[in-house]
Amino acid sequence: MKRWLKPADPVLMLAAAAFAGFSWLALLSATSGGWSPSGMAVRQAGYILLGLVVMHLVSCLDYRRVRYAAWPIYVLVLLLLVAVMLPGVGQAAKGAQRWISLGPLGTLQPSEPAKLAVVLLLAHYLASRLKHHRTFRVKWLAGCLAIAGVPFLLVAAQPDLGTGIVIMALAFVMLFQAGASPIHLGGIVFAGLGILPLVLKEYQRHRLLVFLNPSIDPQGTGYNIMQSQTAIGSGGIWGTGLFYGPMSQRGFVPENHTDFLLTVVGEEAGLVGTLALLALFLLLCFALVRITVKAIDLLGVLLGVGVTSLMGLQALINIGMVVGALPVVGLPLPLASFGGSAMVTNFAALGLAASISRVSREPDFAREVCELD
Amino acid sequence: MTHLDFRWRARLAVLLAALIAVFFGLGLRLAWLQWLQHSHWVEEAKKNTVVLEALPAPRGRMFDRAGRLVVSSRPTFDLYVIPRELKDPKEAAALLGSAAQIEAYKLAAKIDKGLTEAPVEELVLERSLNPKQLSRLAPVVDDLRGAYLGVRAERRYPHGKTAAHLVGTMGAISPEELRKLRDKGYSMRDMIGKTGLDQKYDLELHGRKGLRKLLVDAAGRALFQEEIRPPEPGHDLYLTLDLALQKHAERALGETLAQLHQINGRPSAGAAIVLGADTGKVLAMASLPQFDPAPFARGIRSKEYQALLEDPAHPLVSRAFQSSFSPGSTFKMITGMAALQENLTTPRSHFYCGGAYKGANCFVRSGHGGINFHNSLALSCDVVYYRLGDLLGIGRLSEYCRAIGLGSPTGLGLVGEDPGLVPTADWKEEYFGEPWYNGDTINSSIGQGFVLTSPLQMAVATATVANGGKVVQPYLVEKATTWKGSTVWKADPKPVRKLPVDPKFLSEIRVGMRGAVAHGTSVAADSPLAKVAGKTGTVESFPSPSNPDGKNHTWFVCFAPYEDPEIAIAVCLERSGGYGGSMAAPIARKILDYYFSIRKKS
Repeated sequence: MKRWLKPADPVLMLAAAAFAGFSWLALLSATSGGWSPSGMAVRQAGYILLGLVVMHLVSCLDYRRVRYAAWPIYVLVLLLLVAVMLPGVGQAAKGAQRWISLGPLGTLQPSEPAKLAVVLLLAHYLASRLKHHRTFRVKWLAGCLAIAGVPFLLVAAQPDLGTGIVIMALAFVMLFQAGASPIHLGGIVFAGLGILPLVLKEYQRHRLLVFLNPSIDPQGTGYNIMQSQTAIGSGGIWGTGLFYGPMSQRGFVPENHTDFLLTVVGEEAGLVGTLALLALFLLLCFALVRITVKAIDLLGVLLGVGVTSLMGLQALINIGMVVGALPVVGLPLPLASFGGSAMVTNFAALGLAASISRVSREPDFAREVCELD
Repeated sequence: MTHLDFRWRARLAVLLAALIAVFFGLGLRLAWLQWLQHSHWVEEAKKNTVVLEALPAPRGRMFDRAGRLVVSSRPTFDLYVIPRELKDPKEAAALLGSAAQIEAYKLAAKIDKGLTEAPVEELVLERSLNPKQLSRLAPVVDDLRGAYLGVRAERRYPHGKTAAHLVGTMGAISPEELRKLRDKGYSMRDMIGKTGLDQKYDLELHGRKGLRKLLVDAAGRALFQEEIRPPEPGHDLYLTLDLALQKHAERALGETLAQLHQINGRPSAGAAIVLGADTGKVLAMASLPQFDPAPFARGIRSKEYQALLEDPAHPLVSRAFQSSFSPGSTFKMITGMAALQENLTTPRSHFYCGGAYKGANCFVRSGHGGINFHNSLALSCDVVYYRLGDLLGIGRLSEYCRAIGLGSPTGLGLVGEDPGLVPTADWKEEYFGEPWYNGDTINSSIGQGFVLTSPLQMAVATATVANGGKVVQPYLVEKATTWKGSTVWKADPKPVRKLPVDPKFLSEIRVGMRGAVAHGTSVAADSPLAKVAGKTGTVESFPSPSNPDGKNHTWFVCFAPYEDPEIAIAVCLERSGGYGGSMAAPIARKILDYYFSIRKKS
């Protein structure tokens, strides 16, 4: 019973809570412009609290038992992704079909849990095979690519290229960790990039071109790139002060409560703020890596790497896009951007990592669970 | 965990290194943006959020010599867009069109043109909005990025058409004009003077625009504003015109023209000019028909403008300085002074008029018989001037014409001044490919034939005779002041040149002109209030394409008082028919009576 009261990994959980809290201030500024929170800021605060609870609850489970749920969760997520496409079930916004209505509870974005479902299933798939063969077999590549590929195609068709890319990239990182040949992985990536222009939608190709040369479309996608860099750059070292960013406060940066939340930090808290946020995130990643290294079994290692890359890849792609180093693909900043599905999913992923930590540092807990097994 | 065949820890280390490298890169990128490039992005952000807006300066007013308001301005609103800023030009045209009740396709065409020609220039879609358009547009413009309502000073003419040719017209600035004037603070949205005083003094009347800093949001709504520089109103002009005299001259001219309309069955035109005899200041310059300058000030529609251009009476053309006519017998002043100066005759010479000279008839067919020099002017004997012109020759005659200001603009300075024509043998050779005949000289010596003068030029010539030989430069503005009233500059009237005629000969011309009014051809101009001296002119015409009914132009020039001339007057009626003494002289008489009755009172 004591276990339910004790935090599984205090460093990880505190870093995550601090990062989410810091980001919530930026969201408050973007949506409310002052200390009295708007409806969105209140909802986001609720998502964060819910996320923290979910993280703790998941951390109390034993990840070695969660593996048995890997396939059912994966299939459920695939069904939800298919349901999104059905007229009458899925909801569209901003040109994409991504949401399922949950009635009074709001909406669910199945592509968010899909990422975690893929991490879980790949870890389970690879760990159970490696246990017997001790070395990576090339034929597993096909299975892994199929596990990641199906949700990738469903997500990319919504269309949501950002999440699709994250799902594929996750799979490659985990395959690498599981011992796949870098040459094979590189070859597959190369071939994938080759067919990418054929499967990209017209607007996605346009975004890619605009990224390469933002001045060709100063009012459209290029506008986002220019405006976000302008907002961040004009923040300087110390920033304009919370609630005092002229661009953030007057709607000059579109989507600055979701994908472009970092621009608010950049403008109002300056370089000090963005580096502090980056440092917090890095701390979170280090905590995840430490958990991975100390994991007592292969499943723990692969799950740890999966969760770390889930967090790291999303942050990398999001921040890279916001600072103009990567094309605009549309991806939220984990634990920061507005949105309940993403918030709860990411906290659940961290909870899974915390569970690995708990198992490795509480031998009693491990024995107890093993007895159950 | 030792049962794996590959070094999983090494692989994890590679991934960790990649993670650190990537975040280090992102940190560098942020430092680059926020630290090293900071000032660049601050400038970019200012462009985004700070808009500098020009505040229109009130246009300078015009007052008459007594300080009565002639022209002022009132604020009005224009709808304009900056084409580049519009997100969806088609939609913008539809929204603005329905609010302003203008066909959307017309606006869309304008915006399309603006997008290709000057995408960042202010493009005026509709000028001088009426209150209904304004109230419907205001909310639309508020939510439409790139569309604006701008205040502008619109010319107001409290006296309607009075002195329209002098005051002039306003019009939208053209791209060529803007190229030249951009440094002077003009913009595409400005109206500028196109004719008259508004054109000549545009730079002074225009004033200096103020500047306002606006903080705007992404939708273009102003959140905060700060005035950097207040607008500086244009200078006010104090005209030489006497508004009452101007109106009186227009009325006198108008009454006669109305009668002529009845007689001739078509609209007639004419001019009456009153100059200060010594200075050339323009006290009145009436030209009828005239036009209403107000539609020009709000941006004239092409249909309205077309109608004015096609009006057979040509109301846009001033008959006072933008048209020229044969001067008829008023020209005898010049032939007479030239002959005296060249010693071809003396003031005491006697002539004989038998009714014809070298085949050219005197208008008195039976002849004047024996006649002295003074009476040759008073009775306008053609034969005497045929003879004197014949003796002078066209070479010497044309030199005197030029000396008194014919054949070139007077220097009034308003656009479109007609320089008239002083013919020479060379000119005829070049123009018609024909030699100059003696008959041409004889014709010219009584102001018929090729000679053309504007009424203003004849007014200057008359003033020159009256003031003893100073060829004056007519001028319309006495002084310019700032809007607060301090004088910026004052007119400094100087004669253009001295007439190369001995003043004593000019006094002999004046004796003859006095005789014309006292007992000669111009008794109709005799006023009980002042001694008047004048000369009539009747231009014999024949039917021609420009003058289908072959009616005479009639003239009368005069000055008064005879002993100490104050004013010189020229009246000219285009295709009036009749004679100078009966048609034009009575108009001068009315002006004289008015002028001297007012002067006596004050």
